[in-house]
Amino acid sequence: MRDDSDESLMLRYRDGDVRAFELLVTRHRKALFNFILRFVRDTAQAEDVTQETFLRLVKGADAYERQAKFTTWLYTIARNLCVDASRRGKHRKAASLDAPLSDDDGAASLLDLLPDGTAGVDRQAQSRELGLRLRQAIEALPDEQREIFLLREVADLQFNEIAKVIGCSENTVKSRMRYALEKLREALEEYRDLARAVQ
Amino acid sequence: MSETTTNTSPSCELVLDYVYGELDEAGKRAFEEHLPNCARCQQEVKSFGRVRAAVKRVMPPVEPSASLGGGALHAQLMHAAAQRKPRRGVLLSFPRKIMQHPALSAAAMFAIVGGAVAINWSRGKMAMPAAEQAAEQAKHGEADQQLDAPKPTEVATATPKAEPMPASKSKEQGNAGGLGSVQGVKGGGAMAASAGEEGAVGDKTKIALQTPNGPMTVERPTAHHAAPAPNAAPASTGAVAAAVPKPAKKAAPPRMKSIALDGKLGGKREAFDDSLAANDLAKDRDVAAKAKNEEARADNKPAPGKPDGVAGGVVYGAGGGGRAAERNGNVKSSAPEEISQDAVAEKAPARDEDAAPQRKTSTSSSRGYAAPASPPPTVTMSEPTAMPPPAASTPSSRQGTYRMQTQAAPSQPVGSSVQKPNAGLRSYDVLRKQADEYAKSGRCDEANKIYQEIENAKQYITPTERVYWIRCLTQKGHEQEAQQRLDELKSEKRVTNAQIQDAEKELNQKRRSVDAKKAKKAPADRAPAPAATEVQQQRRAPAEAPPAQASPPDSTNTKVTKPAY
Repeated sequence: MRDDSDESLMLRYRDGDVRAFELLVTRHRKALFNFILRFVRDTAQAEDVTQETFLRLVKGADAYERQAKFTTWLYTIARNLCVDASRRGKHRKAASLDAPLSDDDGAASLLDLLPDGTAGVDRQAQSRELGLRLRQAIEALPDEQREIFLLREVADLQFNEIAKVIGCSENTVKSRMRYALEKLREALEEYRDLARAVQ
Repeated sequence: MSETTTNTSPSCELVLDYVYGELDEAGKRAFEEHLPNCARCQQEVKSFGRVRAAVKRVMPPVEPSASLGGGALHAQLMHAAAQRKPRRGVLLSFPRKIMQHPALSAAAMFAIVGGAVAINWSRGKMAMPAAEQAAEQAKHGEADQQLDAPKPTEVATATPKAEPMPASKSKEQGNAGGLGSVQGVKGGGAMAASAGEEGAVGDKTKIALQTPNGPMTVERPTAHHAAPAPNAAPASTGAVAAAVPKPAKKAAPPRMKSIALDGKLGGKREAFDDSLAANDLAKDRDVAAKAKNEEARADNKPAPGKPDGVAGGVVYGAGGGGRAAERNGNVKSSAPEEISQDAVAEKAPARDEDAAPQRKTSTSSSRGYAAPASPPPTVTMSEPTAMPPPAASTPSSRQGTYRMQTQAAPSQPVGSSVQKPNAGLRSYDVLRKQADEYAKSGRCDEANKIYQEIENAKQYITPTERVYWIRCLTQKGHEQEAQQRLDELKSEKRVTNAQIQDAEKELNQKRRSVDAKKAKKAPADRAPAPAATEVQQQRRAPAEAPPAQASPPDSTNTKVTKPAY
């Protein structure tokens, strides 16, 4: 069963095999959660959205047909839920870990204040600065470019799948992706040496 | 939103695919061949690679929390997944899809309802209820008007002797064709309307019939006195216009004829089946005899082969009675009790001599068919007169519709030409009402007579009416008969206790008063009056001097026979 494709597992769950669904959850939980976390920028909300996404799978299992990839269906649900959550989050006054603590450019966020014991102090500082800059650049991306970037980088969907999830053409997806990468590249130009050092 | 790339070569557009590894082997080889020749592609591949590496570095995958990774949230999710019932079949998948989408559900509902409406509409079964009701009412109104109002031709041909007759009555009587048939059907009893003895007296034919109301004698005019048009079919409304010749309607089917013949359809199925079988056997014989009957009727001659000259006396009853007479020969009656023919004939009010045959003819045509060749007499039945209140009627007259109608027509000889062949249920209803009125108003003599008449005619008397009767009997001194009827009433238990108690109370009071009178009279006379004297006194003035309790009751009043309800 572990070697079965996502679609086969989903069909098995549609026919009543709960273990197939559990396997699907285990297989896609981490990537889905990361995508949602980068999208909604809140861990608790990301967990809720992740749970809701899988529940939507349960509800829609009867209507599932083997016409598209399972991941396409899964991330379509997740993306829609993230869009809804982001709309609600605009009216929410909760603090975000990624949000800058001040209005100044380059101000640290709550996430930067969290301890990271993976590297040395200098490298931690450089990495923290690079990460901060990169996250700010990602946050600054337009929504349509950011979601494509996240779907490609975090969820690891192919461009044709992203096109199905978003509901646009594959060329549009690639174009938006190119624009997103160029913007991120510009943001990283200043930290080229640092980036090299980090790499 | 469409973005355009600045790449000039088609291979330059494959940079992203190459960076993200989405090119197949051939595409990858082709792009790698292109890459050394294109500086821009080289730069993009390098820069995009660096960005991707940086992103992976600063954005490592985050493990979900323990709750989501196997804790409460996971358990909750698995529970929800286990609660889902698997899909049962493919057949219901389409309806399920429809049910899951509100738009599809609405469309399906609209299609179903619209289709049903369209089908009904196309079949003409659908109409606006109000319009339909109005049309129905208009139709009924027309029918009622036709029933009530005589036709112009009727007015033109109306004779002064025309007797008013309710349309419904004519309908009832015509349903079976025979005289007693209608009542047989209504009462559910087995009775045979058949012609007995007949004789031509002058220009009238006398017919003896036995009906549930008792034997009756009917006189009908002979053929030369009857209507000139043999095929004149009367209107189905009961008001007959016989002057206008109409095309002869189709003959009644044998089954219908048999119903008319025996009048047993509503009552006893076996008798009806027997009559059907007999009807089928005698079918061939009937055809020849019927033709002869027609000839004989037209010539006012007795039909050959009929006993005692049954000169078509019953042939105007949709053909059923004629065959009954032929088949039976003699009169047979299934009535439970033979009643004196003279007595009933005396009770039967006189009617127009043409009314009875005309009524039969008209009603037989109201069933949709006419007698095959019976010559209906020319009679017009006018609007039924309104029933006068009992107080307005003369006390000496016989209470009932027929007597009053007879008085209204002075030219008609009372009780001579055509005696009431069939009083009908409606006339007895009228009699009942009148008797009740008399009983309530204290005119007990008249009430007693009417009640006795109703009972002799074997008509049903309701318990309430019987209570009235008992009171009247008590008031008139017939305590013994009153007591007897009261006992019968108690045994039937169809009347309320209060009514019985009232009647008993009244009876006891009467008895006490009589006893008191006797006690006063006894010491004075010392000799009881003979019973015959008392009877005579009672007969002379029953209201003034109530007889003693020990006196023998009047024979006419004490003969209490249980009616065959």
